[in-house]
Amino acid sequence: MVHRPIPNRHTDETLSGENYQKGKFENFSSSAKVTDQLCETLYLIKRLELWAPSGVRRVKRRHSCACLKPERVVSQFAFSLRVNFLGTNSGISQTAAMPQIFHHSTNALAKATIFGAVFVVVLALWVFVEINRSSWNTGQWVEIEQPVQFSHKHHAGDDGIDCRYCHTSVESAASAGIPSSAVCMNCHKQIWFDSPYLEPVRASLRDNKPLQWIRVHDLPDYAYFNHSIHVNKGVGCSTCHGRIDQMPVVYAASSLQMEWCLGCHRAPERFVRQKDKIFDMEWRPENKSSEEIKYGQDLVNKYHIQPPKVLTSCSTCHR
Amino acid sequence: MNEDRHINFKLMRDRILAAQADASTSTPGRSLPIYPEGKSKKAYWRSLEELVDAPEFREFVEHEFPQQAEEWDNPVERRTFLKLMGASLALAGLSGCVYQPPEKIVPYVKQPEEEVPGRALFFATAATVGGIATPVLARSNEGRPTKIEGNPDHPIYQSSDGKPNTYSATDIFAQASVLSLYDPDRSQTTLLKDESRPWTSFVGAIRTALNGPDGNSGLRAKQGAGLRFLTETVTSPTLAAQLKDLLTTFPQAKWHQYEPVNRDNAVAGAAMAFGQPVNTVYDFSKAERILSLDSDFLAAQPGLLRYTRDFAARRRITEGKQDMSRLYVIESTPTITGANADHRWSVKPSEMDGYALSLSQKLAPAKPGSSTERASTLVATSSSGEQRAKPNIEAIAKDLKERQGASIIIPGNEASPLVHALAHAMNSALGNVGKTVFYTDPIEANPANQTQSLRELISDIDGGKVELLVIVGGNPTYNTPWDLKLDSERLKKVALRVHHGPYKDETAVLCHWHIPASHYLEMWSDTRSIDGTVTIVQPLIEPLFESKSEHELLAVFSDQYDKKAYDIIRDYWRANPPSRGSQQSAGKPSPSPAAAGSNARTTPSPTPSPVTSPTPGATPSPAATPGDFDGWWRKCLHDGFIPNTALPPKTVTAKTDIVPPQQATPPSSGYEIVFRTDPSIYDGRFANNGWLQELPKPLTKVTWDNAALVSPATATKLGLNKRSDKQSAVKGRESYVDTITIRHQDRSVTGTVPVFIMPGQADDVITVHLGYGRQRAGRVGNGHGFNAYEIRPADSPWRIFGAEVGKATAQHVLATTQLHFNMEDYNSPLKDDRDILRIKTLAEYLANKPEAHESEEPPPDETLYHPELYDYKNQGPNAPNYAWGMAIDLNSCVGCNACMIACQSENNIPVVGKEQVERSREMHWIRVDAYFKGEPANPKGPYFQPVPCMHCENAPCEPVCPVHATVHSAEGLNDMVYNRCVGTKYCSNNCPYKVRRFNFFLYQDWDTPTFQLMRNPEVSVRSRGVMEKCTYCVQRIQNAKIKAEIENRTVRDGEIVTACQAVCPTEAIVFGNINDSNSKVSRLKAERRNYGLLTELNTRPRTTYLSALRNPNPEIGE
Repeated sequence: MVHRPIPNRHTDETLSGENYQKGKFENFSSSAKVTDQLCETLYLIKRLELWAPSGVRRVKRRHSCACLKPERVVSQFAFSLRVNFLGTNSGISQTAAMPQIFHHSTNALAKATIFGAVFVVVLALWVFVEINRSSWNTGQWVEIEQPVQFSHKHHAGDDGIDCRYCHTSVESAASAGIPSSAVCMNCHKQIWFDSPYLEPVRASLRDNKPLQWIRVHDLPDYAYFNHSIHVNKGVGCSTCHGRIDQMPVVYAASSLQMEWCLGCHRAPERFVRQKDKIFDMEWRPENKSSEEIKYGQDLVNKYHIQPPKVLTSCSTCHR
Repeated sequence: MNEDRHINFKLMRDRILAAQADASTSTPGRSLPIYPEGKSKKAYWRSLEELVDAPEFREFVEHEFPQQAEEWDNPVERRTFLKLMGASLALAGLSGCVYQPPEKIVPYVKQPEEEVPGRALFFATAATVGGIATPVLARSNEGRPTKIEGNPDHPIYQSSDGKPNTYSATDIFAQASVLSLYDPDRSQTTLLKDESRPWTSFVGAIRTALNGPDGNSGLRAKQGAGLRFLTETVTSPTLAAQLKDLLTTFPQAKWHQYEPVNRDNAVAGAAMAFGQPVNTVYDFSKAERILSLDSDFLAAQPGLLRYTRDFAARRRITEGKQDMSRLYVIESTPTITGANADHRWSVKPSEMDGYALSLSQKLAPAKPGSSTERASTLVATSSSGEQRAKPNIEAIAKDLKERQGASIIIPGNEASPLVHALAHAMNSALGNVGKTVFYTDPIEANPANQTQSLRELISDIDGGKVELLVIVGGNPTYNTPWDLKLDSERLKKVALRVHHGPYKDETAVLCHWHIPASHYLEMWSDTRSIDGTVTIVQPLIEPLFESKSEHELLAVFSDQYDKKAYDIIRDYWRANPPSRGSQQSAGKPSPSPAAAGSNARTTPSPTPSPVTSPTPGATPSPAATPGDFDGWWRKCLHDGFIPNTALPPKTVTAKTDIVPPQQATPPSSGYEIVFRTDPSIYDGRFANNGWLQELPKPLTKVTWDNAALVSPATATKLGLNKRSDKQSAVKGRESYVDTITIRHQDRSVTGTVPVFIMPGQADDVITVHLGYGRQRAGRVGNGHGFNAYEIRPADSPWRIFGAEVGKATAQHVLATTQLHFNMEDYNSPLKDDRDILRIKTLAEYLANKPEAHESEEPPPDETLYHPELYDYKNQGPNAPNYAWGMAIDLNSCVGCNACMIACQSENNIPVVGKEQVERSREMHWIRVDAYFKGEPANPKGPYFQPVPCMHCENAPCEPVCPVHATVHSAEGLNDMVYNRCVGTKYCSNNCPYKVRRFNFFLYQDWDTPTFQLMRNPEVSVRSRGVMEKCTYCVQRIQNAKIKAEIENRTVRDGEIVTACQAVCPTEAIVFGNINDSNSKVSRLKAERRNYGLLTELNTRPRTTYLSALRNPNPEIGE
């Protein structure tokens, strides 16, 4: 909105842009009259539902206006309204028939409102995006209590049991596999066999009823993830799952959102590692420095990791 | 004011509809010509409406979903509807924000050895229809059978040259059997008079009936007098042994067999020719000339998969192999086999015997005399003045004689015994026996005449001799002939009735006890394939309901009444191992994968995988070590069959003097009725299978109904071609058809009999299909169609003469997809028909005659973009540069529809129901279009064309999608991203091939628990408001790519097999990498016959077709 000096609104400079001439404009002694006429014009235009020549001509005659274009008529209308309302209550120009309603300071308010609206919209969008990405929505970082108080920190970290002892199919199938109750008892019939923590597992074997674990990494049903191809192409466990060996209770270290998936599919060289380091929890999760990127790029070539064009095709993950 | 608007909207709609109606049918009730006078301008047409360019057809072409306006015509006003929609949108949006409950992961307690979650296992088993096994591999996802593939290791698919076999075809019934397994309408518990009872109380009741209350009265004391078993056709050796044991225990008991589709005529014909029943097996791979006498061996004859494959292979033309067989078909109703023939003639059923006789006199001259006269009288009965062409017996005989020993004359099961006998004599005279035609002992355990068997049972019941009737399988109350009906009157004379069947059907409600029958995927059994090889039926899942197999049911009558079916089968084979003497195929290489010890397979083995690589000879044949029964048995289970059990060929001599039985001359007046099994639901047993019900029947494309097929001339004669059509116009152009009444020997069909005008049908012959008009089939099958069994007599089950037929008053809506998804464009500036189908004769092909449209091939892509902007041959560093494509050989496609069901099963495609099909909303990703050629009275074809998504490189669907829900993959797939789709349907509108399908409603059944088990976990289950289409089975592509990349290689040619390709009996569909010039698909695309569909639109389709060829006899002409 262009700021115009209100006291001088009847001067030429104010009107020059609109093809008005001072004298002609002053023929309208009453702003109410102007408003009436403009309203009538617009009503006619609207009523006839077409820019009828007669209606336009009327505008032209009354205003002696050179413009014929309808949009000009509308802008005139808008201008007159401003004249009408803002001029009414100003109390400065007694000669003008339009008193100004709002105080001068209202302009600042108007500006604040406009910028504020933009700000609010942007803020709302930002809040939405942040909520969408937040762990409230994604479940990232949220520790989930399981029916068995199983500690990865203890088993994988302290005891150093290989991931594949329990997650047997991680190298060969889409699913890494959740160990059956019998796998737990392979060891635990020797040690801690009477631990109260193990009661659900023993009950499961006794009653032949499976344990019901709570899923921590929950992909949408229309996304199809395959562990084996990632593990075989140099994506380590900790790249996606974080330091499992330090988690007494497992949480998702990644958001599992599509932008997160694409981060690697667009630039695999930033995340791959040698195949013998796949199960190494202490390996760096991301290649950052230029040497590391170079190392990643060499591995991309060595493992024939397909170009981003192929990796980011929709059907790579969605079926 | 709101009221006004409503009224205005209605007025406008009515005006539009009325204007359309006026434009289309200027005078209500006028008679449209069935076919145009003069020459039709269309070369190929899918329906009579298209041929005459009827307004219905125009509407279907111009509006993709032609009945949208109709949608508003419901009690909910438009405004209310919008309000509701707004509310539901808001609610749906809110419910999208609901926190989803956490998912559970449920591991095994003890994980089975081969089981890896997420990886499918395949088990060999067999689907049995009519006693004949289709050997299959059933896919198991975490213990749930989800898909059926063929078993390529089975001996009936082994080629003589011993090459490794990749054939994995099945028929539509085997494909759809997965849905039947999970059918929630299956009966679920043992019932006594409609009340649930435990199985043990049934066992108790039978033991009491057998032993009497005091233990030594009852049936056992009477040596089983009054005990009757009624089974369907039994080929299972174990079941037959069980029955024989029972008959030994109860010498007065009797075993009857009846199935509405039986081989009585074939058995009687063999008795005429040889004096003994035989099983005839044909070898189409060596047949150069084939004559079918009413035989639909490509669709409805046992052994069809092997026959279809050999037939198509013999006719496949490449640049290297340029000869093909020639097929003559003389038939009484149009069939798929006739559609694929080089020469086809429709004859009346009454004339069939005459033509067979006159042909046999040319080929196998018998004693002159009586039969000659008989032949001439039989042929002379054909009415004169028809437009129908007569079979050129002279030319056929000459052609067959020139190929002695390399021809086949095949009679259909429905043909009369005389035709069977004459065919045997002619095959013998032509020297075909032992070369293309083989005889073995019957594969049925008891090849008795089933109608006679039923007649004996009925007379015993009527005589009050039956106390306990055990109906093992089948639905005799529904499907017995009307004069031998096992109805409630008769059944009430039996003191105790037991029915064993999968549904609580028409028979079950009349019996005291109803025992749910297990599906073949939940039970142990054995059965025989067409060559007699014993094929093991192995369960993949525990019975879903409290069902029992027939073995367990019969065991109740023996001393070991609680013996498990597995033990029954295993013990039988332990006691009766196949004797080495009967080894017909001992010389065949053993296709045994070396995975003994496990009866699961990890791949359907089209490709050799390291786990199960076929290494012939690596494992010693287990049969050689009879001491190791367990090893041998496990290998049989793994392979799915018991080796060396094929029946040996048998030498029989056909009599040369076959005397036609003196039968009454068929009445010259009246109509002749032909009975056939329904192409989709067979004899009615598949009536509750939605996939099969919604499958357009191959020739008529009718779904959810049966119809009486009449010829165009007969329709005119009966006044059936009037469109009385104010009604149908305003109703939104549904396919209203006239109905008829059929009356024969004071019996008439009670239901509404809609008429379908079938081009190529003989005049005054009406074909009706069995299997419809079910009252107690289940929620899906009830109340569709009419019951043709009501007029089917016992003594002539396939044809009746002298029926009275008249026009009925009612009209009926037929949901036929014939008009749907037409690819014509009437607004096109090009006045010609579009070049959709290409058919040539072999001679034209060999003469290198150019295609009519070949000059219209578009120039290379003209684009403002840089032509090298995207290069499929160079997709980036490390890319294996696949470019997926498909070639469909129309010369091989026989139009069997198996691809449609296979696709539905693989890709979780829903069933939409009859009303939605009427609105052109069927969801099949691949459709099979049928095109006729020529005059309706005597058309060629129909020629079949399967149409999946073309995966155009310049896909018209992609630029119009506002949300990028359909985009191109780097490898050239036209990906459909369901989770992006907002349902604008622009893509579908812009698709010239009309292959996109929209979920107008929530067609998927999300709630029924059994259906949740059925779905393929590799494919998203689509919801309402989402567009979907063929993906080239992208899940199979991705899995094969992942497997190949883990092994650090590229995907091998033939490693990816799409569902439609795997199931195709003729191997007409080939998929692969078109960047690899050595791949099978590339070689096919390089053939001269290759052409793309609508390439003038510059869509650059990845799916291309190979034109069909026909090999007509020059003496007869086209």
